[in-house]
Amino acid sequence: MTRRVIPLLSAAAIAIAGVAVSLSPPAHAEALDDIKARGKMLVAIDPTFAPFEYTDASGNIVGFDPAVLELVAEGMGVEIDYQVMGFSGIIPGLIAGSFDLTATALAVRKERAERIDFTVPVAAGVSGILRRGGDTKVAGTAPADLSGLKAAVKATTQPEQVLQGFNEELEQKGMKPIELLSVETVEQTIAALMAGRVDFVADDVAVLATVIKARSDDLEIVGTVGPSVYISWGTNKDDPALNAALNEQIIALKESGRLAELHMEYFGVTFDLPNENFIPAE
Amino acid sequence: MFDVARVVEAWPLLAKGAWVTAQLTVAATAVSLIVGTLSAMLQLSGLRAGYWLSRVYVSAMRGTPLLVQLFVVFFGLPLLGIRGEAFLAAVIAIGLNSGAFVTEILRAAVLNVPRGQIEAAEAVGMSRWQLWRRTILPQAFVTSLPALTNEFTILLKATPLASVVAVTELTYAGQLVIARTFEPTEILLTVAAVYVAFVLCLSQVSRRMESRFARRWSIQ
Repeated sequence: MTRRVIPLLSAAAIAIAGVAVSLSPPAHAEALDDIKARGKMLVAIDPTFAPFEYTDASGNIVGFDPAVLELVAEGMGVEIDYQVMGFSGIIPGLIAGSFDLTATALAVRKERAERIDFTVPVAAGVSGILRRGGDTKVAGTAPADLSGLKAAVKATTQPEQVLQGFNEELEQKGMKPIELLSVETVEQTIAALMAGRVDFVADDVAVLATVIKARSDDLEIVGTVGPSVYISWGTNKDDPALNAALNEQIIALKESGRLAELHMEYFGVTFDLPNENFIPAE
Repeated sequence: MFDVARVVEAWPLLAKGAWVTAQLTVAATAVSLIVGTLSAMLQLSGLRAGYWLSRVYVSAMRGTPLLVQLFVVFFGLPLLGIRGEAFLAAVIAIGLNSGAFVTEILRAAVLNVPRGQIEAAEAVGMSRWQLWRRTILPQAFVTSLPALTNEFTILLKATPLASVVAVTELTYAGQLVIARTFEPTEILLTVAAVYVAFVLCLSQVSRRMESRFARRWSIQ
């Protein structure tokens, strides 16, 4: 008896796994109805990106995005259930429907907009160049100034893309490209810089400013590079109603001036943010 | 240079992460042992379908990176209507991955059980199931204990990968702390020390089992 049951069970388990993987996502119930029914939204976040999102000493998820999200959730009458995870799992997870939305700061980019839906922008950012204090080797922020240097960036982020664009430009001019070291977290880029493994770090200027404040080391921002980008949250393409519900709350926060207050609190500046046509053409 | 205050401040978060790592390791080890044992038995059972099922499983798991397997399981579960079960996904993926290696470890050990013993067991009228349970598997486990211990220390050190599927284990807990303080040294050294402690525990348990088995079956 047992001899026959075991192979059968294993075969069934493997078959189920196979079917699960090969199936395309079924047209699932509208996420917004789900959230309302549960009274909770499942939100993916990578809290390693101060001041946008990070953890405080007691492990609470804090920062600009969580502050805005709390107001949004309050407006929708639901609670937040955070799913804390590394950045590289977030967009794939959103596409697979592993959670309802992500409130991790995402730079609005055309390729991303093809796979996920963005909410209306909650902030804006621009990449900056950070060097060791007085290191004149990093002379400026033009591609020619950075040619042949080594840079650390967070993998799959906006600053990485800006520097890759620089490299195309440098190659066309026959100049040496920037050598990119792509790592997982902001802290790892800073560690690489302090250890002398790279000459500069490229990341959002608000994030770099937070780093300088937090560390005693001699670091300085040389200037900004690339276009300014809008920062939004993401939802699955199958959930337009959830996207609209989030937008409604965010726009209300903009109109009441509450969002601008949070901008001042976390970034020290305010941003002028559009409510439509914010996806860049390229 | 080493500021203990930083470790003390971070300890509650790190301890939580260490607990998750311990649970993940134990649960995935259990899955690995069960699946690995069944798979080794299937492969040697003489059933053609069982043989190929096990071979395909081992090749698939050994042939693809654990990170990819984690993504497949984590992003596959929502299709079955299971969401937000990050820990479960990590246990399944890491356990199934390790189970393939356990299959091969046990297969080698089973093939080394002397032919005469199997004949003797058959001669006294043991059924196939009794043969496996009483004669083959106990000996295979004892001889493969060092190799299995090795495999499970590797499993322990693969658990940080689970952070990309939303399991805040020890390494990611350390990263969360460092992302706030930007002071990696003390935290990383502490995290490393906890892993060393875990591996020492694991090898201690294995040594104890080895000597117990040795006494019980007076091998050596």
